[in-house]
Amino acid sequence: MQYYDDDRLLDKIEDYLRGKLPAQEAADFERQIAADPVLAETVDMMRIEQQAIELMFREELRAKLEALEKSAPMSELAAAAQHRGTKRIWLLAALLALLVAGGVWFFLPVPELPTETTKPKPDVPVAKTIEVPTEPTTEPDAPAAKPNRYLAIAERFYLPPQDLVSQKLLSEDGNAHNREGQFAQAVALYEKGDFGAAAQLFSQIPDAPIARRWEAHAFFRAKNFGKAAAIFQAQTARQTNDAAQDEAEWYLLLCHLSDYPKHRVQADTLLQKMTNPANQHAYREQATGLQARLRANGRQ
Amino acid sequence: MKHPEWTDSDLIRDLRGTEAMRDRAWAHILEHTDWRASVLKFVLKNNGSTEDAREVFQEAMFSFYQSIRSGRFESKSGLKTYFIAIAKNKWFRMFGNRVRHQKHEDNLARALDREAHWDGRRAEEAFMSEDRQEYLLKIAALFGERCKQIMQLFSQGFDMEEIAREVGLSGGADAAKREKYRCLQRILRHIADNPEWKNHI
Repeated sequence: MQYYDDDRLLDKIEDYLRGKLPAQEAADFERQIAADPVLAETVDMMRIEQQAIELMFREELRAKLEALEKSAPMSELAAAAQHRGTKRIWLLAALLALLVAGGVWFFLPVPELPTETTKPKPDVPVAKTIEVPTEPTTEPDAPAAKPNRYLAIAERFYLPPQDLVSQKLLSEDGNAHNREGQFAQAVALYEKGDFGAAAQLFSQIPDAPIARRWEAHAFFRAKNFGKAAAIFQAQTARQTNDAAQDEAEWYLLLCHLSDYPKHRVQADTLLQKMTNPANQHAYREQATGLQARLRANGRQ
Repeated sequence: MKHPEWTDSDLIRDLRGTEAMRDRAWAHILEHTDWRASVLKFVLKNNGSTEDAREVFQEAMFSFYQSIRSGRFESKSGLKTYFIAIAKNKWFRMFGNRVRHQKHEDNLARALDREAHWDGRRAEEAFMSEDRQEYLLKIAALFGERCKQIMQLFSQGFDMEEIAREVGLSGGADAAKREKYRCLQRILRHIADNPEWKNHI
């Protein structure tokens, strides 16, 4: 039994959820909710309904703003701001140069008085010997950084596997263990944030699956997505066990996302596989979230 | 620069008006004001990216609109000042951890710890919210076009008379109210019939 047909109660719940009830009334209502599980359930359901409506409106507004933004994308504003900044720097440089030139002219020895035969020209160039940089008529435009929203999404969804940061793995892999010095050095570089150097060092440790895993993540974090993808791809093909394969697929997907327009087919195929409940993919929850984000992104 | 024909009152009137008026207001804000540029400048100055600025702008615009609609904006400041304050607040709420993190990079080990913590939390939040978002959008999709319109207008603070006018209900406020209950009951029944909803509380 629910309270669907009690219009007055539904109104009250709506006011309560929107914070429109006076404090005393809200407190009384909360006591009523606490004592009545059916009412509590109805309140929870209406909360979901309100959140769904709000989210829908938010998404629609986002789509509208993004459509309007197409005429003047944020990236162009950024480029324009940079352009203005560059222009200001040039103007300042020119002004400074003029001041320097003026100062030099002021302290130059007074020229000899001209003789009758050599009349001074009215517009004697003050600084014939001084080169005054002039403001170029058109500043070289720095290429506007093209925003890669997919890369931003990939980075947002990226989280290194928890066990990767655990040093105990050193002893779990025989080959890695034998080369502990080199491995530890690479891990230290990784932990210092020197991902490029770490990846190079990991790559020098042969026949060690754990080193390949670290190497792939180091490449990912160094934004070398091509190399990271190649390793994750190889891991997905190896099919050692389900968990390892699922993990490799998830990170491979994130690598593809870094250049989504180019790897759309591979990325979408992986996403489809991972979100299919029948596959019981270990990263299904993450993939579903990612899919929703991509859809929201694609609505622009 | 602000478009000369538009005052703050004009903008508020349109934001509180019909859908066509609201669309006109959005277009005006995006095309004829420097609000976006101001948000961008602020975000870039605070170690953010263009993409961050875009996200902050959109979130701020949503909150700004809600404030205008609900009457929370009391005209104590100019609209732009008010909007930029919302955007700055959004920035610090959305990306504050990162800003704080970057200010203390001198201690590498601690910074790395924080980064790992921050990365993890942020990713986790993204997963949770995206999952929840997916569910809520699924619920939202169950509303028919008219119900969607009515419930959205109601949620934005339109009164029943305004809703009836905008949706084109000849019975006025009473008809809008009846229609709203019908929509609400239908969606509540659907939620109740699918126990999945309990995972999203």
